[in-house]
Amino acid sequence: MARRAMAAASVWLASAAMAAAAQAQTPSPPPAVPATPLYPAEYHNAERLEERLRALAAAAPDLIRLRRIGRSRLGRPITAALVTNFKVGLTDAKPAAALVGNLDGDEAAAGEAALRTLEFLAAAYAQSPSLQSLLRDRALWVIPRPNPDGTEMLFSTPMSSHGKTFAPRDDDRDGDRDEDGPADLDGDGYALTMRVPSDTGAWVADQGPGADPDLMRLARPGRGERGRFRVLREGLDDDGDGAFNEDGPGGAYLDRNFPIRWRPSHQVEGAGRYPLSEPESRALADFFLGQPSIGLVIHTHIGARALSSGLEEVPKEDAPLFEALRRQFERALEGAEGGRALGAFARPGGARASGSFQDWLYHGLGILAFPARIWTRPPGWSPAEEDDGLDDELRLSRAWLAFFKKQGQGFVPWKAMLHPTLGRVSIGGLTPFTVRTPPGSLLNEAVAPVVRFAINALYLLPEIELRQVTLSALKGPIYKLSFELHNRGFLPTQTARARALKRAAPTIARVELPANAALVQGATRFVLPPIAGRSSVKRAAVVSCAPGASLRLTAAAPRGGRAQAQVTAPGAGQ
Amino acid sequence: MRRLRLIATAALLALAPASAPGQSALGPRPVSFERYHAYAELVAALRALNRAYPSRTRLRSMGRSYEGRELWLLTVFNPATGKEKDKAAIYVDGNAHGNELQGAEAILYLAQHLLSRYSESPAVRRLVDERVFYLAPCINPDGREAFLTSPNSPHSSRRNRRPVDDDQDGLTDEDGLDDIDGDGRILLMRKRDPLGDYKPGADPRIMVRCKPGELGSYRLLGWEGIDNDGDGRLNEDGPGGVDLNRNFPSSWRPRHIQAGAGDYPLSEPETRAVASFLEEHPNIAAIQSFHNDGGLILRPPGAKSEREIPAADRRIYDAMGARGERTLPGYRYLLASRDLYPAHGAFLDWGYLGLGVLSFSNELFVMPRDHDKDGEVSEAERLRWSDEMLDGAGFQSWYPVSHPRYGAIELGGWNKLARRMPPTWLLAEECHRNARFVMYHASMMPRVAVASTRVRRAPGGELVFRIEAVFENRGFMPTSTARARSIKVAVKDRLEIRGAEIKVLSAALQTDLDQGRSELVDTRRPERVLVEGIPGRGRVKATWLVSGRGRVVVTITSEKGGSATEVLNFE
Repeated sequence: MARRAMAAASVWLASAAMAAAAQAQTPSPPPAVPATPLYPAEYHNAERLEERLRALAAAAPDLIRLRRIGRSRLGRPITAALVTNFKVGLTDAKPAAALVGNLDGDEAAAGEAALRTLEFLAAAYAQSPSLQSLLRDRALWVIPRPNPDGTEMLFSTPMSSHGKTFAPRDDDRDGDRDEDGPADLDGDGYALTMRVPSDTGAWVADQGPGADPDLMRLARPGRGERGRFRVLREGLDDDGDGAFNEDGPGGAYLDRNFPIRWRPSHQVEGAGRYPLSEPESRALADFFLGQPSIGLVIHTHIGARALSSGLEEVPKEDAPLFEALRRQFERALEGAEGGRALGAFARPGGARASGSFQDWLYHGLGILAFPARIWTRPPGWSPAEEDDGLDDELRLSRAWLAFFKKQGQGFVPWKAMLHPTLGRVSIGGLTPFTVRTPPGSLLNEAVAPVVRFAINALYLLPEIELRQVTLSALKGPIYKLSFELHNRGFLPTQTARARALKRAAPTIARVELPANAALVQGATRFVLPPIAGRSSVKRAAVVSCAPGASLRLTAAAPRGGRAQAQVTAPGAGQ
Repeated sequence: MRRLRLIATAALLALAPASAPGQSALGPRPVSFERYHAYAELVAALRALNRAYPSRTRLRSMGRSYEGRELWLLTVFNPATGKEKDKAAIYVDGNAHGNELQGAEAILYLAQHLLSRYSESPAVRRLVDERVFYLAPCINPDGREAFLTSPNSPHSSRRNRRPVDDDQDGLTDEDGLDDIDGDGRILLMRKRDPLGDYKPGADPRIMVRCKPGELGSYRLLGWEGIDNDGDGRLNEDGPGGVDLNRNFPSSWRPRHIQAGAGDYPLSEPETRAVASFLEEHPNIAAIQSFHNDGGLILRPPGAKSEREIPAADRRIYDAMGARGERTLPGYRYLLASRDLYPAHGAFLDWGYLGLGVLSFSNELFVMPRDHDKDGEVSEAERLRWSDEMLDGAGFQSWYPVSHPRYGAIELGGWNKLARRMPPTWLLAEECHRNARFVMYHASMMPRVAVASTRVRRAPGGELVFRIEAVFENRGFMPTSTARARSIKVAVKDRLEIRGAEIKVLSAALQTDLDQGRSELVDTRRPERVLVEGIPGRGRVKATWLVSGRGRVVVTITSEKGGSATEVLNFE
């Protein structure tokens, strides 16, 4: 993709007549290489991320193991790391949570949050008895970067923002795919924004009290403003159809590509050709369908966009669980800049998502899924209390611009140029990825809440144990065997939603009768209903036992682990 | 006696020996339609056709089924008259439901019909020369094989073979049908019971439900089986699976809403293979899929949640439906979601709503006629057919057996091959009529052509010419459906002019040749003009202003209407 954009730029540079004209009218800026890469060491490209994961796993083979769950369309691996004490217990049966990093290519910090979580666990485990006890019977899956192709644009020159996967698409339906995308015309390393003076344009340079004229915004005709500019992404009309950048690199937003409440691309930009049309989303879906031990998923997002449909269809038993997660995330955010503990669901009247990952997990599979949203606003900024007639979005845009100007990076001043077909334009604005990518120096602070939240969430997982296992004599060798299966975790073994979806894999308890015992009434295999947090279900059977017969009980809850117990009939010798 | 009858049934319905494959006055006809083909025979038949007609067929696999069987697809076309992807194509598949055998037979028949009549029939030759037929007789080979080789009712073995825990007890496929008396059939079970709520009707083979206050004599126990997992429910978690016709993306709903939906759209290897094939072949302009039974020509939408289709497309559907009702006596042309039953994730909807391709889903075979003309084929009318035409062999009368759990019960009901598909002596006709409907559908597909060209010297210019080209769509269907345009999947038709010694100065387009004006196309690339579809039997005209001379090539390229070229020379 980068190569194609370069090619487009060089076509322009090669146009001798145009270059001459440009020299005649404006001082042509020397083609510049980006001064310093915006995101140097703190962010990992696909290759470095994989190296880092391999190094972590190699250093702690009994704590972290990797699994490749799929490949992106361009062939990059999608890796999941499983963290648990591999020396104890059945790894696949332990109650587990999952932490998912960036679904959107332009939210690389979400992937970094997941990686930092692994790094923290690897570093702290040996010295921390509480982590050791937490990871003995529980497990954490970490999938740092489900969209490696999109994220890679952050590390490409020229840099061009891309939240989607890469899947060539004929957006303008002219028979060619991806033939007219943004490009870096002035060789500064970025595909930025072009503003074209135009009396019929819809845009103005920000004006009014508190305005920054470097910010482009839509004119408000109701307040007497007249548009002065057209605003386009930096680029050429490569296919000569009169439209600019209308068929750039195609793809789908993974977070709009899941099957529940999915809406097609002609209604939702970037929805994909059909649900799970992308190898990346399909890899995630197959992973979660194949891991029934995962009862809680934390997915990290940068910014505050809509991630779900509404709260209305959440059964009343499940609503408090989401609220508990929200409170826990709020605690994790304390003291951190740039974050707000937003609830999992769209507020009434708020923007709603279609085909989102969260909705698929919860409304499709019945798994609790909570979004950890960080970096939703510039550090130190809060919405104004008084109504000054501005919408929050504009205020936020001004705040971001001010923040990046203060940082001395992320904003390229508007610069006049001669465009080969548009004439005089200026190119500049926020650099790609900027708003969703905390500067390297602030990254660790920005992602710390996710690390805290993911680890603390493990304490909430369901965990079953067999209690009150008794044999009470009825008559002679006939006994009533009774037991209680208790969930000592906070979350239920299955959500109410999973039951409604007919997707709740059952909890099974079994009684193993030795040769000197037999079932008289009832059953030896019990299909149990979901068990709420900190509660129990009781079951019984009538058995006949020879003196001293030993009965073994086992129980397995797909999301609550396993339990076993033994009970012995009074022996002749006792 | 019962055994005798059973043998008679088998001979009548399935085991008639294949007639010797042979040559006819037409082309070679290696496939006989005097019996239903097992999967291996189906594959052998496709190979035989491919061998007999190597220059007009290609045989390939679209993928593999859950159990690993190939999903064969035979392409029938004439490579000598142009490339496959440069011609409009019709895709036909069958047997998505394992028990619906005749779909595969009809598609095999269609292939043989097109190939063997090619040299004799100008109409067939035109179709094979101008169009492409993608023929996938059986996209659920696992279900078909299981249906034919193991005990089944007429309705079982419908889904694919992916194990699914239907009853949420942690076990998969543990409580299916059981052939209690070992006779290879799955029939219905009834038990004599003074508290029963059923009684024999006027025809004692038919069980009638009692009204409140009426005394019954039987309880119906369901399909032949045992409660294998001891949960108090019978046959609630049998083999498989996912219903392949509920697993497509358009209006897909999960299984608590739509039974058999699968974990997500295209979760199954069979559906995914079909969807990938369709996506890789954008030249597909028509789709049919064959099911059974009831004699229906179904049009979308299949899902209740979808709106009625655009009027422009409905007009074409209605015309084709009316023709279908003539070609297929006893068949009715219906709107699937309204007139049959609504279903989510059906292939019909993916074809039309998802891809914008005019699609039909046909329910093959109407068994008996509706003798009393009440609009319904009643059970009594079906039995009459079985008695009069099949020596009663379609329906097994009730007979006593001993059930391990229920004790003395009776079994009876329709034999699996008799209820939903034609007996073999009717199979060829059923296949022939459906093949003809596909051919009619194929003949309606768009087909673009360069109708005429004209070169004139432009006024005022030295060596400036005005080149006019009229392009037409000779098919009855538009080059893109209204649906394809509304969901923005229709690739525009491209009108192009090329020449080594010319420079194209500007272009104008006229989309209505009778009243419309020729509009200048405002583009920096006037050598290529894009058109948002050409209506069925419609024309557009491009006029290029060109400087230069020599050889000029004028081309129209339509994703679903083929392409056409004309060469001009001028000085």
